[in-house]
Amino acid sequence: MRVFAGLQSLLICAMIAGGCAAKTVVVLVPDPNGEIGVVSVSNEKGSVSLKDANQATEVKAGAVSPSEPWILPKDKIESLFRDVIALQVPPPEHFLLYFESNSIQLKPESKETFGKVLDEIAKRDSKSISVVGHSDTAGNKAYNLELSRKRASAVVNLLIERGIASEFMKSTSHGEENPLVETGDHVSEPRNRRVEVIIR
Amino acid sequence: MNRLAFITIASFVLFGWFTLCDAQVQLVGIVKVTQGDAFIVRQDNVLKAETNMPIKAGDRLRTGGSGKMGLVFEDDTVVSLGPGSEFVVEDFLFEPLDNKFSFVARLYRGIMSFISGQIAKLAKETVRIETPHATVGLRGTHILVKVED
Repeated sequence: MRVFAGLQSLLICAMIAGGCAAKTVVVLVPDPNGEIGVVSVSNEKGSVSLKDANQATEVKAGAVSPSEPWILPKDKIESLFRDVIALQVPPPEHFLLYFESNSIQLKPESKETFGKVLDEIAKRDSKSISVVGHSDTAGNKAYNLELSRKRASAVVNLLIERGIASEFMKSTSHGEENPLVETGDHVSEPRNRRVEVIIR
Repeated sequence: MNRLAFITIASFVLFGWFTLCDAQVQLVGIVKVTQGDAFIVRQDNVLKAETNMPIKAGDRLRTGGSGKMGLVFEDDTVVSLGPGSEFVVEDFLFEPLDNKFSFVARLYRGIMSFISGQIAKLAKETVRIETPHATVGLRGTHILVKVED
């Protein structure tokens, strides 16, 4: 099948005088937060880096390196990429629920956040929810892994009670390994006693 | 013609079977938006893409002449595919606890918006997009790619 497709494009190429216009264009644009990242574009002949907003490079099929980067005007970006720019894809929403010390009891203010979690799940009809448990570094590692697992499953159970199907949820636990706030070992830190809920 | 009928029946049988097996295969993301002709090709089955449908590593995501698709991955990466696109997630690994990360995808044709997520943030140089003409290494965050063949 793939060989056939390959042959077909080869034939089409052969038919068009002057060869194919086959190429890849890559443009670095500001992300939804307005930040500009970094991207490298390479082939066997060379490599270029894009670092500035709306910087573009073009890589043609054949034995040439990626073009020197240039700034692609906004209207040109708009016309080339209209279809994907216009498609509104809601990014995942993250919520943090906090817990009492050495406990799977939600803090009072997090009960309010839990309401927002339910609203967001309903709003986007989410069927992909991650629940990630964390602890602070008070107590030993194994204990904290278990505590963070219990916290995550407490949140999963609360969601099930409110009618969210368990098959839409994936729960994991990180123990004390991924603190929100870096601390030394054996430090009680309320901001690290949390469960993160990610709604897609 | 007989062969076509066989393929049709076989795909229906397999479709049912894969639907049953869905729960056992690790998902890497979901389809969040679709417009027009949008499909997931999984092994030899062509599934019509629908909102909230799970995506697995190895899936071939394909849009028709007027089709579009918006994908959201486990690590918060957001991908939009425009008409006439073909995109494959070749490798996806997001295990922060074990410090294991990988995101390798291939855009065969079409247009795409790619906004990187946690993997690009946590493991620099691991997000890679291959096209027929180039290798794109993304350290973050938002790129637009067009592949003309």
